Amino acid sequence: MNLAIRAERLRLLSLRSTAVFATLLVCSCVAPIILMGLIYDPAYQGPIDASDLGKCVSIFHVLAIAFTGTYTATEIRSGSPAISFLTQKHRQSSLIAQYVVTSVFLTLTYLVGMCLSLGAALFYPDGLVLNGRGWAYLGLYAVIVLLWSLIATSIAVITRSIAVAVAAPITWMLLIEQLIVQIPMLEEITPWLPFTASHTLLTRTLGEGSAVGTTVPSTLAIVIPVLVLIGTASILHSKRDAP
Amino acid sequence: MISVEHLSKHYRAVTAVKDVTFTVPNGVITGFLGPNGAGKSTTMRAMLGLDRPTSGIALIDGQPLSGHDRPATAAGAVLDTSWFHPGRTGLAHLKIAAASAGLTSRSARDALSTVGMTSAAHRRVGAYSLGMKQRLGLATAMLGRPRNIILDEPMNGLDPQGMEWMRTYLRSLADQGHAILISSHLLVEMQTLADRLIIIGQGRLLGQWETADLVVAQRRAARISTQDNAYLAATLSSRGVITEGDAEELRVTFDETIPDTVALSRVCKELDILITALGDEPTRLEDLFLDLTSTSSDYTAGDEKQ
Repeated sequence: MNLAIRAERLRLLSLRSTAVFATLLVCSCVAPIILMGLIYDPAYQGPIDASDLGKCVSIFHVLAIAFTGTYTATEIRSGSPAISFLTQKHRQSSLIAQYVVTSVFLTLTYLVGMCLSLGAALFYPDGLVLNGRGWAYLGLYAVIVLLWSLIATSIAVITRSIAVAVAAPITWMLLIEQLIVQIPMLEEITPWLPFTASHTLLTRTLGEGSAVGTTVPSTLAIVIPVLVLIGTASILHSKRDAP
Repeated sequence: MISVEHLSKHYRAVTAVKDVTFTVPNGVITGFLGPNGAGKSTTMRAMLGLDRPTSGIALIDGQPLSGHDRPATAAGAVLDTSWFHPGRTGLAHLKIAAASAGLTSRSARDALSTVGMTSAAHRRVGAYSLGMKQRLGLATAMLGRPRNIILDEPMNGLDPQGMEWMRTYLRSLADQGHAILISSHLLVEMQTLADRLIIIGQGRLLGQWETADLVVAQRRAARISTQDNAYLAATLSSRGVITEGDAEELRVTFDETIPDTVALSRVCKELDILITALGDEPTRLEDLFLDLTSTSSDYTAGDEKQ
């Protein structure tokens, strides 16, 4: 497994597009805060808080999906699985390594982006307010972004298509779920929609949403699709003919 | 050594390979021939475990490739020149393959040097020519110094110097005891390069031969020039031998009466005719290939069945 992770790390770092995505991901965290400081308007007085930072993370979220979907599907099209299968004993190693390496990459860019973002917020005229709930919110949001990036990677492995790997999760999040939420007759299934469930968990963590009930349904709503897609991707990766 | 035993591969209703059995011995170059769509690439992919055979098995040194602790030392392969990310440098590609196989970065540089690509190490693969990709592919295959080498159309895109280099390199590997399987459409190239030949058509094995035996067996005629071609032709015709040609040169088809050039020269001696030139008509692997595959090609010009 160490060999597979080393190979995946080299694979990721050997591409110019990785640096481009790293820059975009970091900038998505910090640029809005800098912009808010530059065009500061006293009419919107108040310190930067976790929900402001969360808006930055929502951009990071979409970029993370675009990155993992594009990267994974492009590597598949470039024959990387075949090279891995010819050099590694177990087919699963390369897929697990890819999940690990892309997750570490996103975590590092998130940490760098958030550090810069918090630094920029210190220079905001009204300052920064971040309590324990705020830190938990940012931590949970990072986990949610990673879960969605695992979904994008899995869809790329399953479909071997860049377009589907990127478009499917983003369309689901930003279009399909939003439409479902608008339909009153489907109210009962709304809590079980993964993107809606993600936001339910985030608002509860921030203490802004309804505190009724447990977080179990929302957690299951996001974790189950991730596990199903990872499982399907793993089976296909190890059993299907190499691309 | 590579052994393929009763290998079959079906894609839903399509049979790509059916019950193919052959061996690729150590120390020789085995040519793998067949028309387009004959199942060569599918067979090679199945041998390496990239495609799952529907039935049968391919053993690399006695076990499937996935059974080896270090697969890269058991078999190396180039099956597709698109197995490279265009945005990655040649050296980076090799370093990744080396890391994946548990080899050092140094081995990647050495492999690149072996195929004469050091000067292009830091260029992106997207800017490589087909010949350069072939060399990079070969470097990837040879990273782990594998005992068995499987190459799909390695001569494609190579210039004459590249082909000469490839011939010499593959021959040296065979001389070192490696088992080498090469598929190719360049039949003349295979005739000179391969020690053994395996021909498949429509997914079925059509035969396997030692190249030298095949060439001898395929000798069908002699070309002869004498002082009196007309007299020789008339005499041979009277004995039932098929003869064509003119005063410059005759083509004599071998049969029971004239089975080879020695018999032909005896006739000339008997007739007291001076021979000025005599030799076997060059054997063309292409002829045998076309004979064997004439009924097993999926893609024939003007064929209504397509």
